[in-house]
Amino acid sequence: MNRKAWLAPYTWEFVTAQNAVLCQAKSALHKPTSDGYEPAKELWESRHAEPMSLDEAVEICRQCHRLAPFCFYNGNTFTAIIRDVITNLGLEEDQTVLLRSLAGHIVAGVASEEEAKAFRKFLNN
Amino acid sequence: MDRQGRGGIGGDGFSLSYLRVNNVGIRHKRAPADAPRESRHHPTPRPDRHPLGISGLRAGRPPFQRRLCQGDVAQELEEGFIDEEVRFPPLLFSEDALVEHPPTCKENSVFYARTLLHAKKSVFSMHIHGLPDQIAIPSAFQAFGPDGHLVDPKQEAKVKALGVALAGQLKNEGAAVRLWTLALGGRWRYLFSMDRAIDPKLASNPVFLRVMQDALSIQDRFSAEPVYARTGKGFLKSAGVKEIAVAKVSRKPGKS
Repeated sequence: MNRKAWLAPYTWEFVTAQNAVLCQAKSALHKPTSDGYEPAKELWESRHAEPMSLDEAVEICRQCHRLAPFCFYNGNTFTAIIRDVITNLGLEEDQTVLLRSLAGHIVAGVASEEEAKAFRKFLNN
Repeated sequence: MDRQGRGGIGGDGFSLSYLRVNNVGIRHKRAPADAPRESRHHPTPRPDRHPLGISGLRAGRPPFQRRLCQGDVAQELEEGFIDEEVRFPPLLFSEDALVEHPPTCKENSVFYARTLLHAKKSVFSMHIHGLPDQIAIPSAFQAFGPDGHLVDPKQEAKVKALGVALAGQLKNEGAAVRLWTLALGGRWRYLFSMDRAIDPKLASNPVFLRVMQDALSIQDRFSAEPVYARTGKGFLKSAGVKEIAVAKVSRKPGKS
């Protein structure tokens, strides 16, 4: 897969607003965490506009999820972004579903090693 | 609802009531500072009125109504729900005072005021914002001319001013109104009123809306808490194979 600024449209304000909406929908508190917000913001803002492989984009989303910049609903905040990136690749529908599922599992932190390998293999092919 | 806070909650009264809370008729004329407390609040006490000014409660009513009167008024003062100058005697909300002076009056202030305060809290929690003001147009069948304008120019000016005030308030609310409803799962649902901090440009951004729909559709599969950060192991509820099955069907010949 080509190197491209996959995450460029998703600014940090975009990410924050997404989390605000998700928290609002569940009446949860939308608030930055004391330890995770700044590192995640720094990582995102320093990398999101750079050209990168899709694998790297997934890894950035996973790392930001792991850093937990918000008190609640970090998982679907970042997973939805990577799912949107993959949806817009223009692949066949079954390939999109497969790739979106694998990327979602990786960002959510539940992917097995086999799933991660399968994802990378798919990208390399 | 009138300025005394009388009247039920219903019709247009509900949406307008909370802005009237600050005007509820518990702002009596100030008596001299050295006057007894009761007389400061009720300069002309009537025999059927509770000596401490409690109204709307009757002795022997269910206890929840008493609890309603024992809320933390100080907190409500801090939150700006009532004016600073409206100070209730602490005794008014103690159980002892209620036992000693069982309230009997229907009229006047406190019970209605507190009812309005609680109604206001409920309204805010549902993200419903009251209109800044209200205008009643009596005899509406005569009030409008054939061109649809109000016959009385003063009345029309008032309505216009109300519209301007309302537009200003909606502008301050950001994207709340624009995104009140959202198509999701084939149904129109009330989902949220967005936080004021959200940039209105984002609220009308199609990418933002697309990602938001997807994120909301998978929200129930995720844990709200940052489990991944705490334990190093993420959490995701399985969605089954429905999505893959649908994709497979679409690949079958003739299904394109």
